[in-house]
Amino acid sequence: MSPGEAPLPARFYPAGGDAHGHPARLAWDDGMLLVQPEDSSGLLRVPASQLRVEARGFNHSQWAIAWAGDAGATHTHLLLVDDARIAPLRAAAPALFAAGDTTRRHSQRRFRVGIVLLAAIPLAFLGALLLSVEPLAERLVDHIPPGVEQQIGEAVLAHTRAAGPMITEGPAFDALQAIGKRLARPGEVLHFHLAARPEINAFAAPGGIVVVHSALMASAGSAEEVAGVLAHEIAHVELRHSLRQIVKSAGLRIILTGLSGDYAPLGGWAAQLGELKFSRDAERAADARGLERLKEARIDPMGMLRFFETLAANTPSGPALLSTHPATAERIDSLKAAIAAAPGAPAQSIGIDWEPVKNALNSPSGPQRK
Amino acid sequence: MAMDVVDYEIFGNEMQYVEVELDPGEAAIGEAGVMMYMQDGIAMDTLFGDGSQQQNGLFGKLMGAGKRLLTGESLFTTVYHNESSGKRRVAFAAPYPGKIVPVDLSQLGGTLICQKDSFLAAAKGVSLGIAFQKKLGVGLFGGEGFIMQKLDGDGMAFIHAGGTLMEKTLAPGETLRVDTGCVVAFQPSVDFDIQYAGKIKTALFGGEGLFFATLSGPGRIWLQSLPLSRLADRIVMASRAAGGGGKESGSLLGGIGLGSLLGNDE
Repeated sequence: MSPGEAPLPARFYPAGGDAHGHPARLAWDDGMLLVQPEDSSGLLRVPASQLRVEARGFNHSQWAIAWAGDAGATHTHLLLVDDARIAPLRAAAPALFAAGDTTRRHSQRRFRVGIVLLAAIPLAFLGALLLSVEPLAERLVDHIPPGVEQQIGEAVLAHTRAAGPMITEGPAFDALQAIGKRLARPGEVLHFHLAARPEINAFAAPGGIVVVHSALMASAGSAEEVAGVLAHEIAHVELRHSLRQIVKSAGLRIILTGLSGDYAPLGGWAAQLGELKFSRDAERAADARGLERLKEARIDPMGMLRFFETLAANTPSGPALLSTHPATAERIDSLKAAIAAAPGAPAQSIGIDWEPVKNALNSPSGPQRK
Repeated sequence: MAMDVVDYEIFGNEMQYVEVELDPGEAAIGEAGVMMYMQDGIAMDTLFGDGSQQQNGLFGKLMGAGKRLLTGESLFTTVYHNESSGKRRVAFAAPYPGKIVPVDLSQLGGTLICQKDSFLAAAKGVSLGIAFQKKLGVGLFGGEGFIMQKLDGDGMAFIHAGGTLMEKTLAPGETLRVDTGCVVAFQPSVDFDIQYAGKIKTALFGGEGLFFATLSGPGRIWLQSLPLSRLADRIVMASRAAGGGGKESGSLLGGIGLGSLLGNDE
């Protein structure tokens, strides 16, 4: 900016002057700031080295240019220029503005960070709530009364009944009940249901309900093999795996349900979910518990192992039971190890002649259905 | 931008109104709902937005209206236009007890930052904008919120302060500590910041809140002695409906009142 150009309007507060200041004009001339106060006092020339420039005012929208007053005076001269008008001086002497620009940038950054934090706090709360859904659901499971569990189980069973015919009598049904009775501990209430289905499968529902597909019984070689599967499924019931899974799947809704104390909608969701897939850990735990139960009932645990092996070997595509029960090879190995480690009391045969059961299920007239 | 030069006169003591004289062809803008009376020959027109000249096109108008929504004003401003051949007068009344402050923007460098609901009226051509407070602490605890109003132009503007007005010019470096909520307006050269009250005891029981607003010069500031919210609080506290002792004797303990923790002026 040369002195010839239109000088910059500013407000001048001379050292020791009043609070009001007065208008002035600025110009830049070869490293010198020229200040012409409009009260017709003389032109001031200030070398750039003496100037202190800072951003100030509302949102740092003003530039304050200060320099020391006359020798011995404690006050300083001050010039204020609006940011909108500073461009010519900034172009002429950009170095003067570096510090002020930094101040502005920092304050802007502080503001942005602050706003982000303000927005993030509620989001963090929401996130924490969502993360705590699962632990809360876990806790809730322990507080669901047995009556409710029963209701949920009934709902799941109703869903199974609606999906296809059930077998309620005949040699296969009787065999299933007999094996179940042998496995049940004194005082334990378990319900075994036989569904006529072509997939080799069995599943547990809340309330002590175990559903076995007819194809599973038909493909088993002996009562001991079926007992192994049942022991595993009973273990799921015992450990409340189904209930846990339902609760987890229902997520946030379940917590609201728990708060209201009305568990009735659970049955509906459970039915929608149908058969549940459990985690590997849950399967491993059920294997171990099932094995214990077999030993207690003095049933040969090799039956369980044999059935898994048969399934794994004969059906490379993987039957339904195995697809819902992953990592079979690993489980077979750990079962073998567990059996070898603690053989338990000598086994007593269940004493069911398996051929008639198989024949009843495979006969062309079909099993009796209802 | 050509501003309309208006002559004015302020009437009343504690509940004032300002009478603005418009030459033929001149116009003034008023906040919706503050007009008190107007003479024959003044035409009233309602504008979407703030009526300043820059707003061309639908987008500009919508932006202007959006800004007004943010500052808590109505979407519309009213323009009072003198279409007669002689001088005519229109009056704007303050909505609550206090003082009307006439401000000549041309003498203030063209810009004034105001508390967001203090605008009353102005010469046509003054633009009403938003000055967004970019200091988080000031926005949260300064008593005026994040949104302030910016008046730009070089004409007359009338703003309103509650209670008694205090006008002061701060010298460079001079700092005044102000109770939050009492700031009405200041020049943009004034630093508006907050300061922690310093002692927990003062903050809790001093009744002034945790923070002061600080204003440091140079520049002019306008303070109000009675923010409307404070008056409203007292009225609500004293009203029978709110359970505040409607009797003159007051409650047995005379109202202990811990004061507000954060200064409930806003």
